Amino acid sequence: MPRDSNDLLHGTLDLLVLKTLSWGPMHGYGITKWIEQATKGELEILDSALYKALHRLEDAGAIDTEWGLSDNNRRAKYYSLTARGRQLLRAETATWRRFVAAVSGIVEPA
Amino acid sequence: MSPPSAASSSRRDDLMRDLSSKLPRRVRRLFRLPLTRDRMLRDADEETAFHLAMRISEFQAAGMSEEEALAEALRRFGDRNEFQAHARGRAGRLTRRLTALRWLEECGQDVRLALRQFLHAPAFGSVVVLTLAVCIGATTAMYGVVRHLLLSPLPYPDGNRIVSVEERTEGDGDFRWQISSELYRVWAARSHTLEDFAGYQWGIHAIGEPSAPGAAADSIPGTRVTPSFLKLLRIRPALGRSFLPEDSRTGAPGVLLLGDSIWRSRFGGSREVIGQTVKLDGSPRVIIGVLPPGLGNPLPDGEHGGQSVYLPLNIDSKGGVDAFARLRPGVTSSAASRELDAILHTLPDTGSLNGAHGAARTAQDRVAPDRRHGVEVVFAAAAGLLLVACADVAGLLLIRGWTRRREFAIRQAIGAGRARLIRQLLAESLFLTIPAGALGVGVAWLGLRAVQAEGPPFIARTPLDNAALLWTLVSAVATALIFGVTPAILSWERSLEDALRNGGTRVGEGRAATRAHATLVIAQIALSLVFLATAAVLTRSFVALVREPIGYEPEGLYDVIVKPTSPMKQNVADAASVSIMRTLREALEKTPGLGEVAVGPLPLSATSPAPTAVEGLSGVRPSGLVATEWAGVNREYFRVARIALVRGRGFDADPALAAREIIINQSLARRLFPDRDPLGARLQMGEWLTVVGIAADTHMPGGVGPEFFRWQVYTSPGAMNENGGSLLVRTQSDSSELRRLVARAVERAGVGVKVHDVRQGTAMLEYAYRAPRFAMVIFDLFTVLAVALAAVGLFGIIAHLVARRTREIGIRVALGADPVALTKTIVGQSVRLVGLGCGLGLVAAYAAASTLAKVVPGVSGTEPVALIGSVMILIITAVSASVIPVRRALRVDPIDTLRIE
Repeated sequence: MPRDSNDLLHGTLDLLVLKTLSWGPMHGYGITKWIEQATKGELEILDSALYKALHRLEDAGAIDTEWGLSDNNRRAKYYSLTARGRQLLRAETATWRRFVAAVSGIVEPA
Repeated sequence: MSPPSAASSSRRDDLMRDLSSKLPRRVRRLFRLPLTRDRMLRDADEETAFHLAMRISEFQAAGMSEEEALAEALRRFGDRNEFQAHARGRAGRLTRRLTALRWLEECGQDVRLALRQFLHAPAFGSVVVLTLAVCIGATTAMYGVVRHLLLSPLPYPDGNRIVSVEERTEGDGDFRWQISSELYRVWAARSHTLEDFAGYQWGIHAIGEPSAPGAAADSIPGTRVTPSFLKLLRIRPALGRSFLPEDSRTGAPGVLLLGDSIWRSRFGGSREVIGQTVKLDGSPRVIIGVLPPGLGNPLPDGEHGGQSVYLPLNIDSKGGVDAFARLRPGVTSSAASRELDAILHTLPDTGSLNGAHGAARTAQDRVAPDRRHGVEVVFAAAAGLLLVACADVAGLLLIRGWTRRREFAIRQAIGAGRARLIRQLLAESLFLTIPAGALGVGVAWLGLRAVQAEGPPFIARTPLDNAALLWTLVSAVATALIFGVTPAILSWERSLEDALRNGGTRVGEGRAATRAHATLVIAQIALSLVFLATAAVLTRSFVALVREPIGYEPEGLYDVIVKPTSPMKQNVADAASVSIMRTLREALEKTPGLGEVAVGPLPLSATSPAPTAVEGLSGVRPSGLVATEWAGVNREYFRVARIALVRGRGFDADPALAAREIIINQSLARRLFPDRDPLGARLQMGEWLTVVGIAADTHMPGGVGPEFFRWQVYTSPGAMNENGGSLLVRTQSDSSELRRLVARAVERAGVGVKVHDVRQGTAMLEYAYRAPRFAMVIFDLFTVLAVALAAVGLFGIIAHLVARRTREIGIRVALGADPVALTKTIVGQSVRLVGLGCGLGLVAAYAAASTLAKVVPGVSGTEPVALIGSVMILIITAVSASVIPVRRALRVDPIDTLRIE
């Protein structure tokens, strides 16, 4: 079942995208595949939600776009992190860690 | 299988990838196409299509059928409609933001470019700014005058609806009479077109206690107003309360309102004054309020209000009153006048109503037509001057624009749109006109100061207010549009390639640009000729005004006013003062260096009681004969003043007989005795006096005004009153010498009087000369400016038009053309252009002069000499402007000319 409505996921989609792009410029489909593979299909994200996240980040200046050619020689839009995006990634990662720690403290008390 | 286009596209793609990888991202970004909404939407669609295609091939590779793969790809993607809506919203948002950003950035560019352009040629810029500053300043000042006098003269809310309520007869001119209290009450009660009737009476009152026994208390202006007065003006007191109807009832406790400036000067601006009691004319009155500053009476030049105290006026009492009211919404002043007139004619016809009609006049209605037209003409002149300056600057910019053709062509070639270029031109022009406007405010301020010092009194109080500043801003922007952008559009380069390839050296300007130049030349010449004609006409009519016979000779005539050194007892004063004046006259006449002396005031400065009766005219006061100039003079007076006695004789040598004689002027003789001989007739002025002579009329230069201003009577001098007595002296000495001689002679005569004042005869006429002289000086100034501007502009444009043909001239000479004939041809072309301008200008000048003659009295005809002279100036300018560049072109070796690139 698609979990677009999952608040936790929705809030952290930006973080996933930023983290993915930190490996290098990618087109939208590539990002989708990468997240699917990295999470072993555990997080099934609606593709349109991912694109909305990309747009959101682009408008915020965190990522930059450029038309290029895909591996099979088709025109595709490539996304890459800007300096601002890298900053955002660091900040979001730190926030995520604190959040996970806090939730773990409740769910799995040591 | 792959078509040729695919091959080429793949080569292009290789190139692209190559470029993308080699160039730094910042550089790559420079070459991006601008984002538009459509492009963003297309991008989003293409991206989605790519994504779905990738998904489908992924699922097919995993073993799904084509249909299954498509269905699964769509499911994974989610709601496509919803996504498209999202993309549309985002595209709209982004493009709006980008547009705003780009606009701001371009504005910054415009300012930087304009600044660079200005710094590139600071002298050019400064000259343009100064020229425009003078012209914008002139229009601002004149707009102030027009607004103050004609558009909104009364500084009260909705002030243009306040009218004076008058009973007028033919020949009243711009004179305004009070109306009787009875008529006021009738009109106020019965009018449906007017509301808020209010009246006032102006007077002088004694305030406070005398500073010493026997001395007089301070006198101040005091205005009695009906309680409705402040409601009429729509203002409230700044402090305290206004008058109430009961304040004006007889027997009500005495109350008082203070004007703003007397409150500040005499009462220290204290808020405590409310409730205090002051003595006015000896009786106590309580101060109930203070009026706001700037309050005058509803006459446009009534500004004494601030100095005044205000007392309640009871309109039930007898006597005259200055009456005002407000037009009800939608009612015109002429409709109100008709109603007042109709009401007036329902009243029982009393003698005083003979020939009178009711009138309601707004402040604009009360401006005399010659003044109105005068102001309008000068305003039009200032606007015309600004136009000449615009044409001038436009010409200069056109020439500069030609040299900048290449720059503009390059800008256009690399993608600047026309709108963008026009914006840049506008910015450059505003860079000149906004500083010019700022300086223009200073010029206007100086101009209005000059108006105050030298101008006619009816416009002396023109303020430089916000409306005038707004006018300056509007004219600065309008000017920039007119001279900066219009010529650019007129001469717009049709072919980009030409401009780029030839860099502006080889090809002439387009036909449009040449036409623009020619139009400017013609317009400037025509406008400056109109100025010249007008100035010449005004100057000539002013000279005529100064030379106009006015019934006496003011040059060298002085009026010596003497006053008793100590108060004379009333009973001896009458007899004594007559003999004192006689003794003084003889003493002065014997003084060497003084010349001729008579008893009497300067002509036109006399007081005005009227004959109370005329014998044979049934003993009643002649109807309408209300204000006659009266002067007490002796027999030498007419000789000294050079007033001709057209009939009869002067006063008898025997003072006792002369005291029963009267001399009247021609106008009064015609008025009183249209059908019989005035000589020997008798008039009553206190006692019965016999007419023995008829004197020529004396009048102010250009003497327009109500008929009764021209009626004059002369009798023997009466008793010296508190104003002292007057001696008329005609002398060759200058005025300081005269003062010294007179003072010594009067002292030596030892008759108990001293010199109070010496007035110059010509000073009296100053008032009459002010307005026409001011108009003349303004026009002369404007004309000098206009002709100078036209000559400079003409020179610049013609020199440019010829210089542009340097190459053509070179070719012609190389092909064997005769240099002299060539020069003649080119000069001839310039002269033809100027001739066309002069022809149009002369027609316009003639029209302007004849219009002026119609609206301004005392102005007539045109001035052919001045016009021909200025046509000559302009043609000489044109010839020299073309000869100089032609000779320069002829000196250049033809081979060089051909080589110039």
